[in-house]
Amino acid sequence: MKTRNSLAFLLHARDYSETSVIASFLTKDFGILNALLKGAKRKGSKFANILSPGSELYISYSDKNALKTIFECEINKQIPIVPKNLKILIYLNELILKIFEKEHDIPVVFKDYDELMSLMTLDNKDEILELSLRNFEYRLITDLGYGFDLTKNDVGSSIEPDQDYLFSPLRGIYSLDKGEIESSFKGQHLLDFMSGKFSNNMTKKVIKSIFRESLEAILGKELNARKYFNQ
Amino acid sequence: MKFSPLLSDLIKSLQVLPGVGPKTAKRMAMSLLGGDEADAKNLANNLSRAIDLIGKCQNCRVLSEDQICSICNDSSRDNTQVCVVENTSQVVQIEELGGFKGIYFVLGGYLSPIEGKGPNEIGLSELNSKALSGEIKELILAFNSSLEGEATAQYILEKCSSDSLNITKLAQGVPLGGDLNYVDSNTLRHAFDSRQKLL
Repeated sequence: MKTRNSLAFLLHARDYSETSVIASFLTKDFGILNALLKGAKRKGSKFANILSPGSELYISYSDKNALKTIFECEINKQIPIVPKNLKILIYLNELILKIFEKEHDIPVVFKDYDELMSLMTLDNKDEILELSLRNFEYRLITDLGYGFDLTKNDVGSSIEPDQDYLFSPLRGIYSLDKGEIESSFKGQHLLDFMSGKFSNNMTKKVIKSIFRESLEAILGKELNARKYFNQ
Repeated sequence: MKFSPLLSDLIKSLQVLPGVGPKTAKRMAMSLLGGDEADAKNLANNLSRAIDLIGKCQNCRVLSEDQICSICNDSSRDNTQVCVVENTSQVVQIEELGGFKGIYFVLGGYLSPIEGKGPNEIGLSELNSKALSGEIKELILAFNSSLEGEATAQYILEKCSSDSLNITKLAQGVPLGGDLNYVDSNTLRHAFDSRQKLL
């Protein structure tokens, strides 16, 4: 039996039997890990407290069988998440698991996830959290190989602040020749996002909409958390 | 050896029960068919009747044979105090304590985008209308402390908040008879957050 250890975050747990659960972890060293937590729902189980949100865990598991089994799990760091940010955490977890389901692999996101979790502990930092969430999505899209340049249009010309643009997952950013249509946006919003300026509500809306469209194209469907929480 | 089609169907059907795999289902089927025939028929009849006759209480969604369950029909209970739970077995558990005199609302699950459970799949829209009707003074959220449980509580807080409604949740902390030396840091933090005034 080979034992492996890693830092990890719990993404999701579902019932396996009356007392056991199958948990999906984002690990630092082995990417996504689905593993059995035997007796996790039993009274006094050593795994009971890890099912609560807001902990970085240190897990040990055996990979003897196809279904891995966790035999030790300790809380390495407490991350007391502000309750209003729980929906962001749920969105993030669904995004990571659905990408993994579709692509069977996920780029290294542990550090980025850790940083986002830390920001979720802060009240009244909504703008920084939202900007970091959008940066996380952008890096994920890029690392998966579906990236697009937000500083240049589809023919390689620099984005102009006053020019109207459109976005398509296949073409990236492209210029709108004439007039203005409902889904078009000014180049200024892209330039502001790239320079870390994120206080304008229209900039937030434009960037969110672009990444949403791109992620939906990758996944082939809308994420449920977006429908339920409008994330 | 291959089982007969009927026996195979029975074994397959028994596997819908939580924690019952092929081996346990086979044992159950053999026990039912190899034991007293009257007991097996009694089980089949009761199962069939329960499926036909048990539905959800129109008021609180507890599993019930009546359109309005016995708890909601009990005029001695305080129907301005509503305890929100995930499932009917939790209602039974709280009722066994005997101290709660309000009524219940059963969601039927927690919000879980990964599993495709949204506000409409569980009873959140119905709860929202009840909470905003002005007839309820307190909503007690008796949820698991999982991410889904906590996120569902937060969703209810955001959607149902009004000046005339108190929204509370069960306390979390040191278990009765528990030794502080063995309480994990997460539980201890919650215990500190919900400490009570003695004097």
